[in-house]
Amino acid sequence: MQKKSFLAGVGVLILGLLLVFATRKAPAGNEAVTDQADDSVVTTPTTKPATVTDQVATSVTITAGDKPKTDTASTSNYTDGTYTATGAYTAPSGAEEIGVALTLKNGVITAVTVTPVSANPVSSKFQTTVASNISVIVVGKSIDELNVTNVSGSSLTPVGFNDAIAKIKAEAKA
Amino acid sequence: MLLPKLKLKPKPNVERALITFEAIGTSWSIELLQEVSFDARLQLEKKIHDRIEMFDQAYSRFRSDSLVTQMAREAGEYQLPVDGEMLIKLYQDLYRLTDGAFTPLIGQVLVDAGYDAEYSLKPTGKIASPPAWDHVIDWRGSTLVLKAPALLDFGAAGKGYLVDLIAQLIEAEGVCAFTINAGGDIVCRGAEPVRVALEDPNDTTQAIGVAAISNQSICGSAGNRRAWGPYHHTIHPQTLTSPRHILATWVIAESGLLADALATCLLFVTPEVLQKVYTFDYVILYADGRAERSLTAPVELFLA
Repeated sequence: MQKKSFLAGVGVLILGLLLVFATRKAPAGNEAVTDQADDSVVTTPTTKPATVTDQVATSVTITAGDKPKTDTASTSNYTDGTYTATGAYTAPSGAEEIGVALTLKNGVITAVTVTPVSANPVSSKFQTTVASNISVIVVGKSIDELNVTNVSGSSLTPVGFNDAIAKIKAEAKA
Repeated sequence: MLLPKLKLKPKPNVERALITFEAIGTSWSIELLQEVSFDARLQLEKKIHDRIEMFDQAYSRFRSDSLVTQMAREAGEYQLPVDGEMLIKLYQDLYRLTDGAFTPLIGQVLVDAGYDAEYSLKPTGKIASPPAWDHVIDWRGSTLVLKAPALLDFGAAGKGYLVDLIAQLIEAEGVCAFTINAGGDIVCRGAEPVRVALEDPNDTTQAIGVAAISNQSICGSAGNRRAWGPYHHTIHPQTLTSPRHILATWVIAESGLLADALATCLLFVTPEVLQKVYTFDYVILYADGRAERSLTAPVELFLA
């Protein structure tokens, strides 16, 4: 389930771009997560990704370098670390590329760097706008099934408020 | 005859004390993740209750003996409690940043909508936009001058702030690992990250995601509980309506004060407006089922 939502999360992250190549950057074993803090770092793959035209990505494939997790502290199928990828897409101006680096810790994306690679000024603006937040459609999952210690939402109401609501409803029915 | 179940002796682990109670109109749960003696725990509980009472007596518009209720009756110069300056400063800064949408003068609006001290929940029919800050409030450091009587409401940030103050109190008592959850506004301290479910306002048995926070605060704001007629407890001072396009917001920030305040601000302005000044992460759940998140939010959203 976690693998599926991670893949889907990455897919949506790219927002319509198709990831064709991924390189695992973090070293294997128990080393600490590398922090991709520098926004100006441009990650370049060692092989040129294929250009894809006329497609909106509905899924993402992460290949190569993935190993089953051996560290028992993590509950994720993916080893902690930084994953980099370059997406290729077609803008009206032609083929474009966009770089993405994700830091994964225990199954949660903890850092994302989207690096505009475009030289085209229109695409650069679009890539910068795309990079500031992510929008996804969400669904609910039963809280009982989640391994959580706390819940955050609107404040639980006191008896007085609940009584008032009940009274109003009763009056409305009368 | 049934034999009693044999319980294996549990591995010795840290005693986790859970302190729960009702205060300031909601449910509190404080988990101490550090061994605390029975006496120390009792002492700590008393200090926590005293501190909450002190805060409530200053800032609650729901009690007749509070400073805020006094201010609603009479103009004049009022001495702020020591913790008041930081609260008023943030309110003033956010008032300016949101062009007046975030305002402590919302108190009368809430009352006229029906959310008064008695919970009558019946609109008075007199609801009107509040006056501008400078028309009524003159903040002078440790004193607050009201040029006219005004019902101030600090609900948008007060609870988050109080959680910070209680966190400081617990740390002062030598407990460094704990989680405070006051009705969904959470502050945690300690080495272990805390997993927090983001409650689905449409179905409170469910969550739309999980946040993992560490020595931070997460505060949530939603209109699903305190709702009556056309309103819920957040009302825009200019439109005089409760926002409906957003169902819930969550902010992860350094302090409960900031997280709580910004969670409300996100109902009125876009994140970019606030990001000009403040560092924070967020999730916004829209009425159409879309959730927007900041890139670095330590959050996993459950995708459709």
